[in-house]
Amino acid sequence: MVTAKRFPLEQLEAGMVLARDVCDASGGRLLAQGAELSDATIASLRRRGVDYAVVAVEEMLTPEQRAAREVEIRERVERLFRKAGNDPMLLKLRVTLQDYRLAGLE
Amino acid sequence: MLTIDQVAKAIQQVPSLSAVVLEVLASFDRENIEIAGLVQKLGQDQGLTARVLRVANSPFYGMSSKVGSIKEAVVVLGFHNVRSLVAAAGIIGQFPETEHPDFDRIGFWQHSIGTAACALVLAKSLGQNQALAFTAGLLHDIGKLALDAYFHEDFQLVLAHRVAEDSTLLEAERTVLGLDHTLVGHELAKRWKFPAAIQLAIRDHHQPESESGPLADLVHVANVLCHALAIGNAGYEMVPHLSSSAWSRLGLDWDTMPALWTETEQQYAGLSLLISE
Repeated sequence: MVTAKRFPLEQLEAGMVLARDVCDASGGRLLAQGAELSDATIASLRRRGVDYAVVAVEEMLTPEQRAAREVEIRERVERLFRKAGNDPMLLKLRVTLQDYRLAGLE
Repeated sequence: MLTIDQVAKAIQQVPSLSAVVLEVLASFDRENIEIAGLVQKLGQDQGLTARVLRVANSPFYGMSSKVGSIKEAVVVLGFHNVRSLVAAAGIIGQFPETEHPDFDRIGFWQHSIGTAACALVLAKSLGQNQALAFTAGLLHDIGKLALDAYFHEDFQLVLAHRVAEDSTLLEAERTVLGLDHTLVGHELAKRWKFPAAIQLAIRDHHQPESESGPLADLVHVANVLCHALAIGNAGYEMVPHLSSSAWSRLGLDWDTMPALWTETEQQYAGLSLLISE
C-alpha cells in the first residue's frame, strides 16, 4: 500500500518517487508529482532552497494485516450503504467505492 | 414544526457578512474584477488573512518558503484560488462556536470543505467554473448551521429523532420541522445575496431538476460522493440518494471516479487547514 510521507531534504535519496509537485518560492514547479529523484535533482533542490519533499512510500502489510484491512473496508462500506436498498445508482457507487478502497491496499 | 415565515423572520436578523466577503462573493459571476483593490482590502482583515495563509502554506501547495501576505498568496496560488479561500474563511468566521457542543461544527465544516473539494475537482474535469463550484460546495449545507444557531431547541429534537430512527438528517428535519435545511439555507443565501447559481444549488442540492442548473447537479453529486468517501462528519455515516438524472445531465462517467476521488482527497488534505486552529 502506497502512502505519501514528508521527508526533510537531508533524508531524500535517489530512487524515491515524488507524491506531490515540488515548487520554488515563487510557485514555479521544479519537479512534478511522479518524478523519480536522482542525486542530481536532490542537489538542485538544495540549491533552490527547498527544504522538504513529499515522497511515495511503500508500506508493506503482512497477509494478516491486509486481511484485517479488507474486512474493515467491507464493514465500513456496508455501514455507509445500510439504507440504500436496491437503488441502482447507489449499488454502482457502492461497488466503485469498495473497489477504490481495496485498490488502495495494493 | 416551523413555518417558512418563522424561518424568513429569523434569517432577517442574521448579521450581514463583512463588506469585503460580500464583494468577493459577488465577483464570482463577474468578468472584470479590479484585483489589486480587492487584494488590498482583503489584507486589512487579519482574521481572514490568517486563515487563508494557513492553507497557502500547507504542504499540499508544496511551497518551499512561507507565503506571508494575501498579495504573495495571489502570486503563488492564483487569484481564483485565493478568492475561493477568502469566501470560505469569511463565511466560516461568521458562525462562531456556540456553547452547545451537540452539533459537531468541526465535522460540519469538514464535510463542507470535502464537498467543496469534490465539486472543484468535478468542475475541473467537466470544464465548469471551479470557483463557483468550490464555493457552492462549501455552502450547500449552510441551512444546518442556521437551524442550529437560530432554532437551537427545534434542531435538538431533529438530532435526537435522527439518532432514534437511524435516518438521514434531511428526513429527520422534514418529519420534525416540516421543512429542511435546503429551504433555510436558501433563505440565508438570498439574505446574503449569494450569486443566483449558488442560491439554486443550496436550495436544490438534494433533488436537482433540470431547471436547477448544472451547479446544483454538481453540488448534489459532490455531496453524495463526499458522504461515500467519509470525509468529515456530517453527523451520521450514511450515503444519501444519488440522482441518476443529475449524473447523466453532467455527463459523468464511473470509470473516471477513482482518479477524481484521489484528487478530491488530496485537495481536502490541504483545505482542511481552513478550520484548524
